[in-house]
Amino acid sequence: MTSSNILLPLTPIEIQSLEIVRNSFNLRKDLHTFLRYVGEYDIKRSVRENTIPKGDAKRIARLLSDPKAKEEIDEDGSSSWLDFIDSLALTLKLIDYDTKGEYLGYSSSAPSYVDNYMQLNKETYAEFKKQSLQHQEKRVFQALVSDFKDSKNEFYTRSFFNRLDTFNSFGCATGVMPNLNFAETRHFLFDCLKNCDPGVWYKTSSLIQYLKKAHPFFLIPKNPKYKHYEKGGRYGNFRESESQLASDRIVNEKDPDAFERVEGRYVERFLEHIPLLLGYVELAYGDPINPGVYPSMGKVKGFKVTDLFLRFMRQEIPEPKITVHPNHEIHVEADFYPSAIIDQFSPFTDLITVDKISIFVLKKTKIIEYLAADESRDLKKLLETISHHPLPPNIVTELEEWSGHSDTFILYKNFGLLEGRNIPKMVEAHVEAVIGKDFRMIRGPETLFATLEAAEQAPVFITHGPEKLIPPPKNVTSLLIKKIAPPKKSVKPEINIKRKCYVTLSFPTKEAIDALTRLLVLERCPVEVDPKKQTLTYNAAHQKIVDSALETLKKTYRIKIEDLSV
Amino acid sequence: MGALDRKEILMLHALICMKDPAPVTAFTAVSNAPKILYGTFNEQYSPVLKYIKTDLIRKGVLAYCEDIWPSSSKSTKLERLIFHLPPEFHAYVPSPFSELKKLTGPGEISQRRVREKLQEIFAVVESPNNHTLQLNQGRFVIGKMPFTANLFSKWQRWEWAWKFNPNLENSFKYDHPVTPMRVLEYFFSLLGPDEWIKPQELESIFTLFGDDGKKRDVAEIVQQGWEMGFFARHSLQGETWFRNTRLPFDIPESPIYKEYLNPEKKEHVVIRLDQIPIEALDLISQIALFRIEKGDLLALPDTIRIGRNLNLIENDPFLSWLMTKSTLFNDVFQMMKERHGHQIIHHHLLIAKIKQLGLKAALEKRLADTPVVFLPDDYMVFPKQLLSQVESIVMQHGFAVRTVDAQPT
Repeated sequence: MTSSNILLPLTPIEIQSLEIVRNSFNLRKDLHTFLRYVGEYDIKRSVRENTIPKGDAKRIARLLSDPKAKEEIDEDGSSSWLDFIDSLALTLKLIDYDTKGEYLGYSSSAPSYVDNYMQLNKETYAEFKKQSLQHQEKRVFQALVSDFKDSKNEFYTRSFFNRLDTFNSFGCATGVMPNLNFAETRHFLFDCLKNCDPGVWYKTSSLIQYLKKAHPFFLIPKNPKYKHYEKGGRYGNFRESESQLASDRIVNEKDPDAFERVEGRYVERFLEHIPLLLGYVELAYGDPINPGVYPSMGKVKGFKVTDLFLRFMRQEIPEPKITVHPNHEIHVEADFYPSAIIDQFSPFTDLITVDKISIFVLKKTKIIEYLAADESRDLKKLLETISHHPLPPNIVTELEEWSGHSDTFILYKNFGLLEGRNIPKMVEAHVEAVIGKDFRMIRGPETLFATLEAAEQAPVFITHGPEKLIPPPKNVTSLLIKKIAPPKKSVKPEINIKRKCYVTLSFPTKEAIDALTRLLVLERCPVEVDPKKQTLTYNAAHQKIVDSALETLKKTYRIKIEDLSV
Repeated sequence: MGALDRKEILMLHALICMKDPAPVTAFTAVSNAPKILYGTFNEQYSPVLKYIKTDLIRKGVLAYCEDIWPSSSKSTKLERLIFHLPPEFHAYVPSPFSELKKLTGPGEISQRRVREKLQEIFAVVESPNNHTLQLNQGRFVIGKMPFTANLFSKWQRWEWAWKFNPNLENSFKYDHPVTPMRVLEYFFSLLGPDEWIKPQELESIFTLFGDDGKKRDVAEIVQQGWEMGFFARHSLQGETWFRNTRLPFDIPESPIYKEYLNPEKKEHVVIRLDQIPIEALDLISQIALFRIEKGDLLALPDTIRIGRNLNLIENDPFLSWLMTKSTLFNDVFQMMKERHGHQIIHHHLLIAKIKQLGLKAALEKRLADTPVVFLPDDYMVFPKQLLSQVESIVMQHGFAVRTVDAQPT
């Protein structure tokens, strides 16, 4: 219950028998996810339809919060949620691509979009992310509220949720329609909604009645301006019919329920558009009160405003609240997707979940690399500044320790090494570090060489190879090259190879092989018999047993053993 | 090879001279086929192809194939055929010369143009071009480039080539990548020691190439080559014989260095531009600065360049002799020799500092067989290609690589 505003005199409604609809998709998260993808990949929109190509669309769909997005793309070639996000990003001017196209030839019936790459407006996006969540939400809100060009209004355009049909757009460029300011109307209705109790389900019809009594001209002015066509009066653009495609009769402004049939329908559709999309309301649907008449009327039986909406309207969307826990988790509590925080934390944390409370985990290796990349970084100070509570002591200790790790190995690139006895003073301006008695790490080796040459010092300049250090010229001794350890002579490693020999006997008849097999089995000599090939194989270690068995077999056969060559 | 006539021998030499395989058009002059000036390519050159097949290919002398990278204008197979003398046969091709003379002695070498050129340094040239010889801040330059014997010989060649129109560096024909200069170089290089030829020998060769209809005066070309120092000549019984010189300017086998310069003065060395060979001038240019004083060219030691060329001075006989004769040069040489190598700048390697003993020990152990050097104060140096290996060891031990770049982008 709001204390500072006067609540609207609306009637509550019981919702048990009604279907409750709320937007379960995370619009803000999906917007940033989409923008990140566009920034990372080159997306060339299709030439004819100017849509995101299927491959990219599927990849993006997998990342979005609409679980059916990918399925839709597989079936229909596009996803309405992705299309909406795409359109929103364009409206916010966070991305750019051609929407006009060009007619390629005399016979072209539609424009083509050749080489139409999507560009992320990096600076605009960076600036957007820097703004407070309240401000970001306001920009999204404004973009949607202000967008009613080209019949993009609640009368003629279905909402994303697509449950309510629309008026026939025949004649929409004439009559009162071209002069209606839907942005103003929407702002007005939002101002009305902010005077609702967030815990209460209200009858939509009570809102409509309230508007009829208190603000009958909230949508169409009392004395509207007409374009081209005045016939039909203030409701001349609005036709009802018993068929979806037809447009039989204009709503007569003198009818007692004319307001409900025009403005009333508008209110329902308004609720299903921006408020539901942004999660500002939940809606309760039932059967229309005029079944068989198009467009439908009275399907949105009830609505409830959310706390989120009221916080937004009162400009009370808080900035993310950050808490660092002793278990290395960082919890970020935010009404909306905290994109700036996510970007800021990604170099030194892993993102575990994104929700009203997003969870990050500090990662040691990432932190060490993060600190090593820029010695001016102070992660402890950063977290202390942004955290709502003091850092846990163990985190402080660990950050200090890890900070030391980042400073343990320092690589010096594009420096030279000066080696010499009695290093002259003129080199001091080039010295970055002294290394022992005989070495100096220097900046600008070529410049120093020229200086030493000009000073008649006869220096030697050695450009080393990418794989090895090059020795100096003859008659020049270098301590550096002397220090290189000679490569160890490779000792041949010993390997133990095990050998097993097998003997295979090939028999001319089955009876002979069976006879020998039986004898060997009796002696418990393992053998392998191949009946097809009529061969018998045994380990050469059992030769004595086999010889003995063959001797026994000689009582039945005259045996001649022939050694086969390979 | 014995069955080939002189024209065919010349043709084979022409193929060697060309280096690249030749098209059928190259054989027009050597074939006896009637010249057909009209009709398609095939109609014009089929008789030439017939000659090549009969007289050269079937004799096993030539190889041929279809060009795999023909120009887009070559639409017929005949246009794309190319002919080649295998390298294995080159040594067996008979001499192209009908008359050779064996004469001992170096012959007469003209120095006039070369000496005239060297005198340019005494002149004040208002608009120097790429070939002007002058002194620039004590150094010899030709155009804007530092003087070298090689560059000087390029001038000689250019000067010789451009005496003629068309000049000798212009190809004979658009589809022959051969110039008269190349022909002269090649054919003169076939001469053995003490072998000399008359310029007329080259007329038939030029005719073989010169189907562009431009009649060149070969005798005049050779004569000018002699003027520029490329050839030596021998006059004998009213005839003049030529051969190439070993270098653009012959160095005597027993040079008398004291004829090249006067090293006796303590303050400088006087160069004798009328005597000094170009190669010797090149050598001394690498260690000296020059100035002109009272019409003399004086050389003084250039300390920096002497320091850079110590090995050259020690190993070259002329420069070594100069050191023994000129105290001025020798003092500088000895000073630089003594200082040489006291300061060594190592470049194009990576340096790292390790602040943890355990990590250092691990690196020393893992990189024991690599060209990594561990220096005092916990530093190490290593070649660039070892970086990934070093980084891997560092990260395996739970550390990160912090980079300090002397040239940040």
